[in-house]
Amino acid sequence: MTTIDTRELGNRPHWQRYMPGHHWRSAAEEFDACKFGFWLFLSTEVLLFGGIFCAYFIFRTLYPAAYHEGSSALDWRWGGLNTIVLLVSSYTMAASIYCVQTAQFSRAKVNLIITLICGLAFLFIKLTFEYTPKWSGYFFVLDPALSHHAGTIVQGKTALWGMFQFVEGYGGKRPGSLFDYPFAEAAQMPMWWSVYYCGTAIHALHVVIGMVLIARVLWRTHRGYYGPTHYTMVEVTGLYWHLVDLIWIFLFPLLYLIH
Amino acid sequence: MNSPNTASGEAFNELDPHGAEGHGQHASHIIVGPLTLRTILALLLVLTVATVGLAQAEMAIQNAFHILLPWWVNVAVAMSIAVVKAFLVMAFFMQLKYDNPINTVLMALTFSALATFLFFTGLDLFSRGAIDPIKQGQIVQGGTGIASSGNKPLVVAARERLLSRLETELGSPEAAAAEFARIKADIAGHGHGESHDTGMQFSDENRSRPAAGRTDALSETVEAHEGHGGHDAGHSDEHDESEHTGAPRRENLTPAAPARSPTPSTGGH
Repeated sequence: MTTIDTRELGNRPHWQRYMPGHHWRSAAEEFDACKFGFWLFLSTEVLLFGGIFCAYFIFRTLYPAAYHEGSSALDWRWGGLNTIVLLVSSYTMAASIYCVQTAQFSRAKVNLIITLICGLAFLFIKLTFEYTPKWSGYFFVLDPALSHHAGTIVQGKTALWGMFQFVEGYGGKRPGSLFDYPFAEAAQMPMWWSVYYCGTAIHALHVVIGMVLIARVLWRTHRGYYGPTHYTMVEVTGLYWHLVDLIWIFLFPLLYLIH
Repeated sequence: MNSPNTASGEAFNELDPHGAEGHGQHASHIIVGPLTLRTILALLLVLTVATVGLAQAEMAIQNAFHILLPWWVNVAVAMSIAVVKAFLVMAFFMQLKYDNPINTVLMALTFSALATFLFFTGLDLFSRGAIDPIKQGQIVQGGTGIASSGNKPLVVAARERLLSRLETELGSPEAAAAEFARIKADIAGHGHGESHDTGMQFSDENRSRPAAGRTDALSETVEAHEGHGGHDAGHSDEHDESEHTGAPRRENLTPAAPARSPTPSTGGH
């Protein structure tokens, strides 16, 4: 029978003191079961987004002109930049798992912080350069597209202490107004905007949830909860973050590139 | 020692009596090294640039040569690159390549469920052209069966069929009408016990015959029409209402129902 010297254990970090639940034969079995459970959850996530992809499929087939017009209202450069941001964050997430597995805790924390920064950058780009102008017609002053709309900027109409400038005729696709963009040529433009906003907003919600999980993992890594023999939560959070990346890998070409 | 584990030359582990550690299905402690991860990241970035570049190239080719590439070229290129990227992410970042195969099986099942979902949607979507010409009449008319009964509602067509059969059997239209009325009176009230005289013995194309006596609210509303239903089969309900809204008897019978004022559009003529 194994004896445990609690006086010695008390000085060790949490991950060395971790014992699997008594109903498991081993820590490895617990880890595998946790991971399998999380994969089950991820499969429901895939099906959740599957509904949105199916809606996209139906309405693109029915109204190709509306989708062509809607897609051309998006700038592939923002979508592409966000793809790169998410891919890099996926890499740093995977790298942080490697670092925890090999007990390089400060590198793991740096990687997790980079992942968090990438998540913030993704949300910032999405909100500032994509959602806000389309909802309200207000452009961020650093938005390169502002020079393109130079002729229709309304002088003196600004928001947030001059950080946003109003462009006449651009906005009006905000969800609250039933997407009544008056300059749309295709009658079914609302279908495009519904799918676009549903797909990207639910994805953005997943980014936020993922960031909360990563912040928790970062805090607990700092506190010494995870290490080479116990890193279930790090691994599972990584899986969630990779799924967020995976969904974007499909959303990006569907929304921005297919014309 | 008779433990099965000792037979293979291993010491019996009391904490792991079944030998899960080392022999089980688990695949923990997969360590995917930084070199692999960096290679995969580089591949993913290259593929991202490729998918964007190809989409731009298609536009450029179309503009330069004044041609229209088929729509599926764009879709096929973008989606196949996305699938490759998804495979890379799942196999290496999500470690499915090294993991317990049950997770891969699970994901394969999930994607086949998604494929089934999309397949049957597509089956419906893309066969609309073949179905609509056949079904459109029935769909648009909403179940009155006009398309299958010579542009008449099913019940009207059936009544006319019966009357013409009776006419050939009995010789004259009057005899047929009388026989029709006799059968109608004979079968009325059967099925639900005693029949109230609702003035409406049969359902017609506009209204169903109320099952009087079963639901209070229904029968009260019906009694308000008493004595008029017999000859208003061809009238619309709206016309019917406007005739009776002024009657005090109806007010008494249906106190719960808000008394409708005569609508100018129907009551004015």
